Amino acid sequence: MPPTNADVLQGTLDLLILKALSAESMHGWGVAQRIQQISRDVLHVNQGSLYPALHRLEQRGWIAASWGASDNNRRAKFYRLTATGRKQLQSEVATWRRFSAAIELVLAAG
Amino acid sequence: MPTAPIVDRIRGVLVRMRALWNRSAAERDLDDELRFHIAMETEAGERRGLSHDDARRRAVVAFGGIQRFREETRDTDRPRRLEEARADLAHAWRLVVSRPAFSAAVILTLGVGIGANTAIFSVVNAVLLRPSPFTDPDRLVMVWETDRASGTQHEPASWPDIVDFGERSRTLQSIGAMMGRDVTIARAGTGDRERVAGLAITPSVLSVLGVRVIAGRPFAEGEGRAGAQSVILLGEKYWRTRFAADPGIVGRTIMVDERPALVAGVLPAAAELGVRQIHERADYAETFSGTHVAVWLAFQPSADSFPRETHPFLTVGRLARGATVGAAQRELAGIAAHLERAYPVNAQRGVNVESYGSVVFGTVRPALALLFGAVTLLLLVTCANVANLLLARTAARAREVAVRVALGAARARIARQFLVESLVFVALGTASGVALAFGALRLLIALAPPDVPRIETASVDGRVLGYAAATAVLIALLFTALPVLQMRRLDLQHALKSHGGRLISLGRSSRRFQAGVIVAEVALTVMLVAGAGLLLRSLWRLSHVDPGFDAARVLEAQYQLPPTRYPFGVKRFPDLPEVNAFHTQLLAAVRAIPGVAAAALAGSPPLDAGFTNSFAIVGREAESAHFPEIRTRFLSPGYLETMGVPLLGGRAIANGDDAPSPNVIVINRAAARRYFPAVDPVGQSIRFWGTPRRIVGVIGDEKFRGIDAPSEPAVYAPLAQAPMQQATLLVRASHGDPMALVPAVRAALRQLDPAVPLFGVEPLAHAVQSSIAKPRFDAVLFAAFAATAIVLAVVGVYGVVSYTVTERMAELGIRMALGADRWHVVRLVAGMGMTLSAVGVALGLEAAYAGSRLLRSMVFGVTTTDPATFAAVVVLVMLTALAASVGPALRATRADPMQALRAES
Repeated sequence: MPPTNADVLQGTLDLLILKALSAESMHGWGVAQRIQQISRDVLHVNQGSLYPALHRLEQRGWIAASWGASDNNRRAKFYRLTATGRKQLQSEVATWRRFSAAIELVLAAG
Repeated sequence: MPTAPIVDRIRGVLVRMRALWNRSAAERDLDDELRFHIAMETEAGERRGLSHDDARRRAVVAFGGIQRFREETRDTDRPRRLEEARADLAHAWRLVVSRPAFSAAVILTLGVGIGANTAIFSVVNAVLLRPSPFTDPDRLVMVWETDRASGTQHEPASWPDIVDFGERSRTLQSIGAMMGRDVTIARAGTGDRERVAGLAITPSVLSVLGVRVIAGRPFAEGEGRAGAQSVILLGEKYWRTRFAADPGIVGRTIMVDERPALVAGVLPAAAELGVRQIHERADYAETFSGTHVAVWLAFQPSADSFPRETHPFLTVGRLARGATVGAAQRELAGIAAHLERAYPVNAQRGVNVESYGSVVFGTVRPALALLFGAVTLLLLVTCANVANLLLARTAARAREVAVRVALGAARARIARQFLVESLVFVALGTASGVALAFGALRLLIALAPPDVPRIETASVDGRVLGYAAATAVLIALLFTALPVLQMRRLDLQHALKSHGGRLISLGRSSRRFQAGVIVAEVALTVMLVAGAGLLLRSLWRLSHVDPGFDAARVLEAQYQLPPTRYPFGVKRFPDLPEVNAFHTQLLAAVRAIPGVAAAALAGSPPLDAGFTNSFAIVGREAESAHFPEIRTRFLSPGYLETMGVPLLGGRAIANGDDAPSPNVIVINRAAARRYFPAVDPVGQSIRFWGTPRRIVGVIGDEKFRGIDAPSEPAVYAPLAQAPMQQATLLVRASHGDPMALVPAVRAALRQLDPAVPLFGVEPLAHAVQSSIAKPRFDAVLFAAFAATAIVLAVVGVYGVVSYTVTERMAELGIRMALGADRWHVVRLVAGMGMTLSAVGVALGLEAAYAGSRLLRSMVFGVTTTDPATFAAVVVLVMLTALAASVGPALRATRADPMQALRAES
C-alpha cells in the first residue's frame, strides 16, 4: 500500500491524460492505470472525472476516439493524441514546469 | 492557446453534434465505455484475489456512482442552451399532448383566424401586390371623353379625336385604341362554332402597354386595315384550352366571323389585365362578354368608317417620361377645347385622363382593403380568445412555476419555456391555418365576382407563406408576453401554500387584464357583426329591388349574324332584308315550340347598359340641345309580354312597325316624366339618327346598368326599324325551368342557319343574380367572419365566467349557506358576464359607428348608421353573451358550502 494517496490535482488531469496518451493510444481504464503506475501509485485518477475529461478533450479536438478490441478482446473505446493535442501537451508541460519551479522557489526560501 | 488545426476542431464539433442529435447512439457508447471500464476494474480486483462479486462491487463503488458518471459526461457532451431548448420543446410537446381538448381548442381557433387571414391575404397579394405585367405601369393612362350636357365622365372616344390627341400631345408618348368585339370562331375539322370574347386593338396598344407575345410576333403597324388580311393574336388561356398550347398554330389561318384570319402569335394571360374593368368603367361600350380575351384582333380604323360623331373607342395612352396625369389632363383638355371649336359634333365634349391603375383597381382596392380589415379583426378576436385560454392555464400552472422559482429556476429560463410553448401552439395553429387557407382560397376564387382582376391567379405562394409566418411570430411573442407578465406578479408564498390541484387566484391585475381581453373581444365582434349586418341588409334590399321586369321563367340567349350572309349596308339601313327576315323567322320558330308562352328579341340583354344617343324633341329643338343623351334600346313585338313590363299608355310595338312603315318608338316612364311632365307624350315625336320617330306608347321603367342603378330615361325603337346583327333572344316558358327549352330553341336556330351559334344562354334570373355577385360576395364573407367571431366570443365569455365561478365557488357556497337564494347567485354570476359584454358592445358600437363610413360605397338602400341594423346587432350580441353566461351561473347555484369550507381549511 502506498504511504499517501493523492487525488489528482484539479486542473492537472488534462495534462496527465495528454501525457499518458502521448506514448500510445489506449482506452479510458488504461489511461487511469498508466497514470497510477507512472506516479508509483501516488496519483489516483478519480474515475468519475476521468470520462468527462476524456469527452471534453475529444470535443476540443485534442484527442480523438475510435472503437477497437482490447487485449482480452472486449469492445473498447481507444483514445489517441491528435496533432493539436500534442502541441497542447507541450504548452501545458511548459506551463506546469514554470509553475512547479515557482512553487519550489517559494518553499526553498528560508 | 495554439489554434487547433481545422480538422481536429471540426472533428470535435461533429462529436458534439452527434451527442446532441443522435442521442440514443451517444448514450449507448457511453454505456459501453462504462461497462468496459467496470469489467477491466473487476478483472484487476480478481487478479488481486477478490471474488468476482466483490471485485465488481468495489469497481462500481470506486467509480463513484454510475448515474453521476452519466450526468457529468452528458453535461460535457452537450451545450447547455441547446439541451434546455430541447427539454423545453419536449416539455411543451408533452403539454400539448397531455390536454388534447385544450390544445385542439387553441390550435383550431388560431387555425381559423390565421387561415382566414392568409386566404384573404393571398387574394390581396394576387390582385394588388403582384407586379404589373406592363412595363412602367405608372405611366399608363386611360383617356376618356366627357359630355358636359349629360355629365358623363367616362365616354369612349371617337377615332379622329384619338388621332388628334396622339398627334398634338406632348405629355403622351403614345396612344392606342381598343374596342370589345365578340367573335365567332369555327373550329377546324368539326366545323363547330363558338362565340368568344374578342378585343379589337390598334397595333400601337401592344407597345403602349408594353406586353410581349409568348409565341409568334406582335401586330405590325398598319395591320388590321379594312380590306387587308385579318390578323389576330390568341389569348394564352384560349390557346391553351382550344389549341392545347400548340406553338404550331402561329402562322396558320383560322375562321373568325366566317373570314380567314392569320394567327400572328399568342399574348400572355396577364396582358388582359384591366380589359374587363375598363369596359365596366365606360359609360357605354361595345360588348365584351367574357372575363378573358380569347382573341385579340388587329384593327386600324379610318375616319371614313368611324367618323368624329361615333364614340366606340376605349383609349389607352403612355405618358411621356416625367409627365404626370395632371399635366396630361391639362394639355388634352386644351386640345379638346380646340376640337370643340373646330367641329360642331364635338360641342360640349371634354376629356378625362385617369391613371390606368385607378381604373383597373379603383373599385376592387377599397373592397379588398375592407375585407382584409374585417379578417384582421377576426384574427384579433381569435387571438383574444386564445390569450384567455392561455391565461386561465397559466393560473392553473402558477404552483408549478412557483415551485420551480423557489428551487432556483431563473425567471428568464421560465420565460423561455413559455416562449417555446407558445411557439409550439402557434406553429401548430399556423400549420392548420395554412392548410385551411388552401381550401378557403379555392372557395374564395369560386365565389368571387368575375370583375376582380387576376383573382384566379391567387395562390399560397412564398410571399403568402412569409406573411403567415410573420403573423405567427407576432402572435407567439404576444402569447409569451402575457404569462410572463403575469408570473412576474406571482406571489410565491401564496402559490406555494395553496393546495395541489386547486386553482390559484390570478392577481387582481391579471383578472382585470382578462376582463379587458373579453371586452375587446366583444367589441371587435360587434364591429364585425355590424358590418355584416349592414351588408346583408343592403344585399336583402338589392335582391328585392324591382328590376322593372319579371325574370322568372325567362331564358335569355344571344346570337350574332355573320356579315357575310347578313350584310349590314349603311346606305340601305334600316332596310336589311336578310337580317329582318332572320329575326321574323326565328321568332316564329321559337314561339311554335311547345311550352313557350312568349318570345321576343332585344338589341341588348336586359340589365346591360347598351348605349345612349343624342336626340331632340320635334318642336322643342332649342331646349333639346341641353338634354343629355338618352338610353336607346331596340325590341321586337312581344317584348312586353315576354318580359312582364307594363304598358302604361298608348300601344306597344307591333308587327306592322317595320322598315317601310313610319318610324315609331315607345318611351319609358322616366323619359315621360322628365321630358313630357305636362303633356301626353303619345303622339309627340323624337328625332335621332336623322329621322323623326313618333311616340306611340309609354312603358314601365326597367333597370339598365345593374340592379342598383337608378331608373334612367330611355327610348325603345322597333328592331325592324333599327336592325342589329347581334341580338338577344328572350323566351318565357309557360311553366317550369326555362332551361328545359334550350335544346328546342337551339334546334330551331340550327334549322334556320346552322352556322349561327347561341351564346350567353342562361335563365334571366341568373343574370339578375350575377348583377349583384359583388355585394353578395362581400356580404357572405363578412357574415362568415362575423359568425365565427360570435362563436369565439361565446367561448370567450363562457370561459371567463366559468373560471370566475370555479374561483369563487367557496364564496358562493357561503353566500348560499347564509341564505342567498339561487336567483341571486345566478344574477351575480351572469351579471358579470353581461356587464363585461355590455362594455364591449358599447365600445364596439362606437367603433362600428365610426368605421361604418368605410362601407358607404358598398351599401345600397341603407345608411351606414342604420339604427335598425345597429339595434339588431346589440340584441344579438347581448343574447349571445347571456347564453354564454347562463351555464356557469347555473353551475354556481350548485355550490356546496360544506365542501367549499372544507377545501379552505
